[in-house]
Amino acid sequence: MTHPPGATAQAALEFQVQQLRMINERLTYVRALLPSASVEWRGPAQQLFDLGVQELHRDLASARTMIDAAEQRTSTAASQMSARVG
Amino acid sequence: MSDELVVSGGGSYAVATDEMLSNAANLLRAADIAREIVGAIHMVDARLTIGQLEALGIPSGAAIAEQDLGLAHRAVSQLADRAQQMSGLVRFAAESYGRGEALTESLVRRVATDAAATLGFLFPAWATAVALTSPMLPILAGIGVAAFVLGKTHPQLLEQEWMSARLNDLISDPAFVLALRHSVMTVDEFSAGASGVPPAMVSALSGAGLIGLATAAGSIQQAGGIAGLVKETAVRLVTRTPPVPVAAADSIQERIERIPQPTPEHPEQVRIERYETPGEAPRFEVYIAGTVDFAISDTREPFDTTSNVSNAAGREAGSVAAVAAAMREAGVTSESPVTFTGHSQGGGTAARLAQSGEFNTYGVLSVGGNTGQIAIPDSVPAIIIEHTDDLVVAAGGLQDNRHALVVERQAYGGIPLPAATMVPAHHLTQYVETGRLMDQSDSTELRGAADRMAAFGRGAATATVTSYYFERVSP
Repeated sequence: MTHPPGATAQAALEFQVQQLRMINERLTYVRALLPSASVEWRGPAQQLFDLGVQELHRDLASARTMIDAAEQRTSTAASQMSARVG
Repeated sequence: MSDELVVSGGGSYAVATDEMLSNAANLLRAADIAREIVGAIHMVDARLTIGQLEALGIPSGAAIAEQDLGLAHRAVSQLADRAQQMSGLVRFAAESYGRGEALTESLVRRVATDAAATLGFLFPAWATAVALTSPMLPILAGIGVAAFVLGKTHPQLLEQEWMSARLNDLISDPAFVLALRHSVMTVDEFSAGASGVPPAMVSALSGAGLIGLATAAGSIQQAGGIAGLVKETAVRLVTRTPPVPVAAADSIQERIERIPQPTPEHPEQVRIERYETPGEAPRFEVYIAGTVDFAISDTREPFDTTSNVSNAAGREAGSVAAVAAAMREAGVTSESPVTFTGHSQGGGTAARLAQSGEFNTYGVLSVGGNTGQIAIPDSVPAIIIEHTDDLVVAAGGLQDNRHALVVERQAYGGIPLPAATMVPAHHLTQYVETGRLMDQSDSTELRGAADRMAAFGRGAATATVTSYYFERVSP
């Protein structure tokens, strides 16, 4: 049995939403593993370490923003497809 | 109370706090997971191309989502690379610091050795005093002071609050403890110099390991023997408890909690757990108490100061003989897999038994033991836990077991010492707390070492525990 193109597209979009949610959960786990600002380092080493930590958190925040946006857009597209398929 | 653990050894030069090692381990794990996420994003991205979206008539928002995925892919890739680099940098910093510290310690030792030998050589007038007192210094300063304050043989000292508080502050100061460790290492060089051996020769003898803490302790025992003090005797088994079922210790904290703390009602100094699995030789975990009686003569207790001196001198101590006899009683043979866990003198005893080669030692855990100058074989995995404000560990000299994982903590960092307890950092309860912190750590080094020890007792079909009480046989 073959699905009409609209139904196939909707299923593909819904699957993508699920995958993106899983990716977001994995990113939350990564966030828990990243260090926060250090109390162990001193002087320039501390500045370097803290700078590195900031960059890590920035990369992560950026990735999460993009994944959130992709999830939202995909979800909206899936809803629109659903309306079309009826 | 300080929760900071400093971890070193384990075959590496690295010296780092537990937090740094945990960070390094977590960053590496974050890098691995980030790479998996990169793969997942790539898979999602490849599933629906913009061309397919157009062909299927999917709204344009989904096409923009594809661009978002591309940017997320780049950000997570960067995160993975950066996390891996930072993990490597933390480890590199720990290694560099450790190498620097090892070099500094080596130079300080060399300078201290030469200075002690030269001082002794240049001021032979001190020779008499030195001859009488210097071999006693390690004991007076370490075991002796510990015996004095822990043995509470001078209750009047404890009654004078101001004095006991000041003494406690001094002997619990990490700087004092470190200085003591260094001074313990140079006593013999000073004596050799004072007795007329040229400083260069003393340095050579010291470098070759021909003189050191063991020879100083040996001198004490020889001198003491003449006066009828610190004299070794045979030991005999007095009682043993009936075997009862037990579950193997699963954490460092649990292991430390199992070390016997003899009381008049329960005087057993040795606890042996026996694990049996069909088709395999029985395995044994041996737990050894610390010093029970600080007397230097006229005691029936084998876990006494005499045994401390014997352990330092490398002679068979009453405590070592007692544990070896208990092991034979328990059915331990030279082939039986065995681990040793001991506190204080029990740590030194564990190190001596591992060093003896008489047993098939799978691991040693020493807490607050004077093990610095007792060479645990490189083939024996060892964890040595020492508090930097514990005077007793200083009596063992500098820690030379480089292959062992050494975990340090200042038990009373930043808080006042308890008024009524002398050398509180030496107490087993403080080491239990350090064990708990080790168990909570994310450090790969600590987790690996704890897992190796815990694995020893796992999977046994039956496990039983028996405790043994020994006493000295009067000559």
